[in-house]
Amino acid sequence: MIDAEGLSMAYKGGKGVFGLDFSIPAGEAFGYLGPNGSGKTTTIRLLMGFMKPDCGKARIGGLDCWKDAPKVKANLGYIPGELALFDEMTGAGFIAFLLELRGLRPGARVRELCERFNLDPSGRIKRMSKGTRQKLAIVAAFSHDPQVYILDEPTGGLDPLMQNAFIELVLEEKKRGKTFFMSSHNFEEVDRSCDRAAILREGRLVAVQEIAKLKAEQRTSYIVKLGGAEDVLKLRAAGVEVARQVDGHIEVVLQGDYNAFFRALAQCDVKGLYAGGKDLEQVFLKYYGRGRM
Amino acid sequence: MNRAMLKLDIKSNWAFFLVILSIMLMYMAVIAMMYDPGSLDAMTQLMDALPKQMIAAFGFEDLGASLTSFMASYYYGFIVILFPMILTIVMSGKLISRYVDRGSMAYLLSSPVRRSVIAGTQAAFTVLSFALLFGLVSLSGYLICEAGFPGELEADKYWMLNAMAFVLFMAITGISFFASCSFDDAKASSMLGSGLPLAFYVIHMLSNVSERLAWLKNLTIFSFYDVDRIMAGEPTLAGGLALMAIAVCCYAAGIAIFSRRDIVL
Repeated sequence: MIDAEGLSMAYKGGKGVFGLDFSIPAGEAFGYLGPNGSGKTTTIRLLMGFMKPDCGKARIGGLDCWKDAPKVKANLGYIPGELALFDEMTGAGFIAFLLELRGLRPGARVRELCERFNLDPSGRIKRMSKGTRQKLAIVAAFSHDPQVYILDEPTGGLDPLMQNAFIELVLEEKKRGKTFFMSSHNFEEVDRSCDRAAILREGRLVAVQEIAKLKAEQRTSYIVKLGGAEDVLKLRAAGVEVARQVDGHIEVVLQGDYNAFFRALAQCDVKGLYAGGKDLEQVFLKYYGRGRM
Repeated sequence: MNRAMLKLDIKSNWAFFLVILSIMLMYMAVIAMMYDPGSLDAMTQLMDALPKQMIAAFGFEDLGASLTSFMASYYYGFIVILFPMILTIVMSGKLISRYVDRGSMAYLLSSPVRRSVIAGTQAAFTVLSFALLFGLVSLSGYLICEAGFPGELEADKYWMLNAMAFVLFMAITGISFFASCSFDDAKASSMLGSGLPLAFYVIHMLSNVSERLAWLKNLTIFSFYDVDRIMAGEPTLAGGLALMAIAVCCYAAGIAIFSRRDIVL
């Protein structure tokens, strides 16, 4: 349904995307992972036909994303990464306007989506909070019931409850045969809704994998607060990877070896244990190399 | 043309359009009523008290003995340029470049509406707005003059003044529209789209000040709109056609560029 073949586009500064190849069948949710500045939004600009590729091709439903852009968009729902809604409109006015551009009117689906996200669209967009704007953007993208969705960091600014509501919606739509392309810099977000994911590094794809396989490679970080300096040595001796150490707070990174970690912890004076950062470079060290650590 | 876009344009522009229209109508009424063949001497004396160069810069040099030439120098030398110019600057920024600069163009482009239709709608809206503005202003001016001084207005010259002013603004809005379509950054587009017409106008004013600066006339499109020639009854077809050509080229090029260029959203 969504295909890229050698898709490349360079900006003047040398950044861009280079030789992207992926193919997403209809009914699949595809995660697109990369840290900020790795080229996620550029890929989306190419898929949306905002920019013309230097070489290679992007196709949606067999249509060229640049040449047949209007036809492609007839059946596409989109959430921009940087929300620039029409501030002077009300939420309801905004949805009605976008539907009118498609020759449609708001109906039961819009009402249902608003209820699902607990969104009151009657207020002015200018006065809406970041989370409310994000909900409005989601409702707008789903309102015309398209076949394909291109979503740039769709859950940014949503609280956990609303993130769940969003994931449920994606899973339901997927059952109805809809195709999703979803960018994110957070693996957890993609993990729960997608079937496969691509990992992007400096404009190039370093992996296109099933989520289950990526999960096996996933590294989790924890922050441990230890009582004494010798405790750190005990952890190191047990083969636990210590990524950082700041004032008795120690960040350890695990990849499946929980037992060794907890056995070593049992020997230490543990004052606290917290979930650590979700930096994509940390989570998928395999693909991002050791350069940054 | 796209109906939803057109409705949005009307919504976001009608208020300022109305302000400009009412100011222009007010001046029209005031200036027409100021015309009094008996007190022209007093006016001339008042003008003599002001620095000559300043008066010349604004095009008030020849106060004129007839109603038509009085209107021509007062209204068509200055008011009819200043206020539509302000409208051009405000409106051209709102129609394309603001959406690109803020990023909300992403939403317009995520709809199945063609880019050429989006730009074409904005171009048509501009042309129609200015046609309405000049239509209403010239018609009310005509009625005011006919009511106050029946039969005194030289209708052919009067309508020619209005027609040429309208065509002048087709060229000026064309330049602004072209700039608005060409850049991602609103600052860059207003530099060209408002800066160039303003520069043309300043050059026009300077060229009026003294004989020594008269050569500057060759550098500004305002010279195609020549009030003196119209009042002298000389042919102005070439100027009108030149302005039309500028307008058509700018609008067409704007739409073409917007339809083909990369837009970073």
